[in-house]
Amino acid sequence: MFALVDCNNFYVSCERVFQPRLASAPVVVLSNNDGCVVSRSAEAKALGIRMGAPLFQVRPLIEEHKVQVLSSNYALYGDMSYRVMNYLASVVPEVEIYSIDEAFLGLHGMERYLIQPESFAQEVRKQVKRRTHIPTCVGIAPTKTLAKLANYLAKKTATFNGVVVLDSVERQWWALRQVPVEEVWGVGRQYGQKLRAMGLDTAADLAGCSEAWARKYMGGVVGARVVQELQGKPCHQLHPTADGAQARKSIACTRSFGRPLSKFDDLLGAVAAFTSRAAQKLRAQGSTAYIITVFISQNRFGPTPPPHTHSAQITLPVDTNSTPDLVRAARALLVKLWQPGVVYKKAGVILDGLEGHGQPQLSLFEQLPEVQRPQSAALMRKLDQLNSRFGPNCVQVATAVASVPKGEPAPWLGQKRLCSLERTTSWRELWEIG
Amino acid sequence: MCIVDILDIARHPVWLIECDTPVPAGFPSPADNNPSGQRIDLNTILLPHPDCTYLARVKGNSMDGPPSHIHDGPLMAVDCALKPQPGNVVVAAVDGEFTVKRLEKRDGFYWLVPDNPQYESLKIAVPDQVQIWGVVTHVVTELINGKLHDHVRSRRL
Repeated sequence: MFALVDCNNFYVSCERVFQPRLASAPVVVLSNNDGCVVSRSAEAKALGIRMGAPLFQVRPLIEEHKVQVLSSNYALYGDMSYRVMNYLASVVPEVEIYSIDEAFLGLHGMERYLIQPESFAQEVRKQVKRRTHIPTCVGIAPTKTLAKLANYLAKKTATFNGVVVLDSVERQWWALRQVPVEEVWGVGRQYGQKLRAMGLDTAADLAGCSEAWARKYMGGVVGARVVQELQGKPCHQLHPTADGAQARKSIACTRSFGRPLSKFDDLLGAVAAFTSRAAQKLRAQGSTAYIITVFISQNRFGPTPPPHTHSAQITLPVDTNSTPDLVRAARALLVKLWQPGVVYKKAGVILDGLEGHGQPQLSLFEQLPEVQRPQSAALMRKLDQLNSRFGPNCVQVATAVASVPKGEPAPWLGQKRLCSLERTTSWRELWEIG
Repeated sequence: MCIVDILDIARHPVWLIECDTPVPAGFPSPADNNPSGQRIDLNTILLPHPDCTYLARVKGNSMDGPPSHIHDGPLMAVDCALKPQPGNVVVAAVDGEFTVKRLEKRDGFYWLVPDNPQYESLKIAVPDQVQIWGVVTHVVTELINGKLHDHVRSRRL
């Protein structure tokens, strides 16, 4: 059996931990740079504020109903997530941290101690709430896909008290009939529309399909697994790693700028800064990459017609995780993309083709990077050590700072006008109680 | 699928044979024979539950009186895993604001009591009016200009 523990409206819930005045008010949290709504309290959902809605579109609703609006405070969310996950890891043998606010628990071997899965789940909810003040929902089922589905139902229906257990075939079919097909884990909106057009409206309709049908119409083996998991046959196991989080298969750093940028040097600074961040994440998980993609975007709500985003990709001759190598490649891509006179709002860098370090794909024409520049790995190690000890971006590549006037924040840094305080991670912003 | 079953663990202690063959090198330390020479680790004492303990700074002097004598400025450790008991100093949310007070029970009601007699106690008449957020377990201050100097307001002697 698997359990999926998911925190309710996680970002809003984190804000409420340290601001009790937000307790029953409508609250929304905005994305980086205060662009879109990324988390909503139940009260805000009830007002009809959509997930992902741009702030300017919902501003009338916000003003009318006095909705509390906050910038995202990722330092706080990261720390609260860590506390939740550490508790979960202490109650079950295996945890897979699926995202910042949800985790799969492996309950195999615990059957003897779980005569009543329902009461186990309620105890987990109670303890998480008590220790972190974060509300959660729990879904328990024989497969991960069904556990997700159970969690969806636990969230939607208040009378279930935050827990749905699908431990019998009857209950599984009952649950499958309640859930629209596009809400099934692994289906998504595009396949959802396709399936609806074929007359499959609920998860139950999809679970009634044969494996051969799924292979044909739902993208081969991936689709077949979705159907089997819905039928209660587990295809996906847990993927726990040392720190619980999964090694990523692709690493991205994409941000909206604090203000619109058009000069090449400003965009280069932004792209170099994002590349440095992505390279650091790459090294942190011990990988190297050989495909790098850069994109730059104009305002998609502005007057210019689409396409608003232009991107370019390059395959490097040898995989690398060195910041200077990756920044050099990103710069070459940006030269191709940048147009004079255009105002850009957003940029991003994506690293793909990740390999575990120490198993490089050799190139026929290029020497290995460690042969070309033997000090590179040691340099990167020192760079990461300095930045972790003296604060992020204490040492950077010059490209990322060359265009920034001294003493000013970089123009691509996101605006956070409405940010709450870093109560648990910063001495300066420590919680004060009278 | 992989099924892991947890087996019953041994009910009796398993005795391991200790290999008591010291390797002589230099002079033996006379302290070696004192088996209780474990060092004291303040971390494990102050933060037995690090994942559910939060640090906060005291603001104001409403608790500056007997018995707690918590003045303005030190750090306190707030543990959320403990069940609040009457007599504990707690952090509570009252009308959307946090406050530090002593939880007491008098004539069937809970009260939030300030230790400074100049402040007034609050009777918790409606259960939902007050949420107890956590229990204050320790108060930390610093008497020299050390690493905490910038983070606490301490009474200088």
